Amino acid sequence: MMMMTAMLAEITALRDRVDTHEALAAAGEVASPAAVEAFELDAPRQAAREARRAAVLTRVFRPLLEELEVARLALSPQQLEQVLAEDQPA
Amino acid sequence: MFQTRHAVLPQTSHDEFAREEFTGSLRRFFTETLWPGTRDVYVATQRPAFERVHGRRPESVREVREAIEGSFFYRAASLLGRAAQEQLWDTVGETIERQLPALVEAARPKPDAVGTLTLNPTLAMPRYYDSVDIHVMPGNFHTELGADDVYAGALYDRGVFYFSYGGMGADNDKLGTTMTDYFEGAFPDIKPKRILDMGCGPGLSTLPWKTTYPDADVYGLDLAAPQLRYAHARAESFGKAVHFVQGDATAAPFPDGYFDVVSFCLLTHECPLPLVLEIMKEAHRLLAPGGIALADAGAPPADGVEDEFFTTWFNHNANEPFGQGLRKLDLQEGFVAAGFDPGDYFSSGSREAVYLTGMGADRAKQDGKGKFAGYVGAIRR
Repeated sequence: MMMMTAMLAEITALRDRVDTHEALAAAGEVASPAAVEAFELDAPRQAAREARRAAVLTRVFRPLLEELEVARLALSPQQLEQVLAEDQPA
Repeated sequence: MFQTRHAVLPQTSHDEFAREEFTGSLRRFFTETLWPGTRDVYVATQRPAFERVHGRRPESVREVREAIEGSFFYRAASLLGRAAQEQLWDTVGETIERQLPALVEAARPKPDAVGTLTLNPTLAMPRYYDSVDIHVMPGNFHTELGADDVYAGALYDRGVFYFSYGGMGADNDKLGTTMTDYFEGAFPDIKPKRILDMGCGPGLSTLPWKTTYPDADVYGLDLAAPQLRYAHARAESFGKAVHFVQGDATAAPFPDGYFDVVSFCLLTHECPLPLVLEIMKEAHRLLAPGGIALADAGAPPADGVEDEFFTTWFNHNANEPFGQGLRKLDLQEGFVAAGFDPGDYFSSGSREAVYLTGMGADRAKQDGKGKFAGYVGAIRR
């Protein structure tokens, strides 16, 4: 698991670097290493990167979140009876 | 949110910053989604399974653990929480290692400093303190990597910013400012002349006292030299005249009755319970008549064995071994044992462990309180 989270840090850092490249390109600048290091991240772009990272975590850990969703939707015995009763012949 | 820059805050390359940002994202994911989810999974699946076998609910923390350990969700969530903790310090620490000589130079006290730094190289580190890397921070608060070291101060300042994924605010001091806000509101007529912040670390909870009472002499006390060197440089960078002193909160190097306020923030849950009582006693000694001791109240006692299991994750998984003793302490009794009168004890009315419930701005929306912690204290007559 720790190897996975370390890998995710590398992947999301790479994605952030691509975002910087795209920002520089949009401004008509060349994405040299110096330009990337000098790039000033503003609050909206930082928030967008955070939202992207949250989405990555949701996608990567989908099996966990599925189990959580099933637990939260778990039918009570009464609800289960109700569902089964719907299939009974009238 | 970007952490406010100061003279000794570590610089980061583009990718180092990106990796740090990920650790904040992972911490948020664990705190707000995964760990709260373990209760839902337990209630929906593991507790009913236990009840079917035993005909009753779990009656001890051990039984709760045995019931939940079969859950893939619980094991994965817990591992992710631990991963977040280790990765946080490793990611931040890596940036500090490569620039440590420059940080050490930047932290050297200047001749025109407005504050002071008083270290005691002969001070022995207590055994409990030297035995554990608190919250998995390598080397704890005090390990020195070389002469005039500031590594641990830088590690904590930058690390706790991402631990709280911005909840500490841009200046990384929200726990301190909410504490001084509470104090100002509770004691509006008090104008302290001398204030001590015990267990000050890099000064995150210390500078707010100087901001709130600019005419007061403000002191920060800590066992750890790397924290104090860093704290001094950070305070100087912000133009705050604070006196940072190396010493033990159970035997502080100040005379009786020297202070009007003795405050401790995020200190007591890192100490064995007998030392918490010693710290309260020392606060009593250090206060002048009319002086006030103030502390964050920490986590409340657990509400049953299931609540105890779900609110002690840090105690069992992230090197926070001492907090369980503190939450069982009747805080009023603790202050009374320290010499304060029962009628002079005060409380904001709540006990909350901010590191469990999260310190992000969302939390204010969740519970509508807008508070980050509960506070307790006592007045010395």
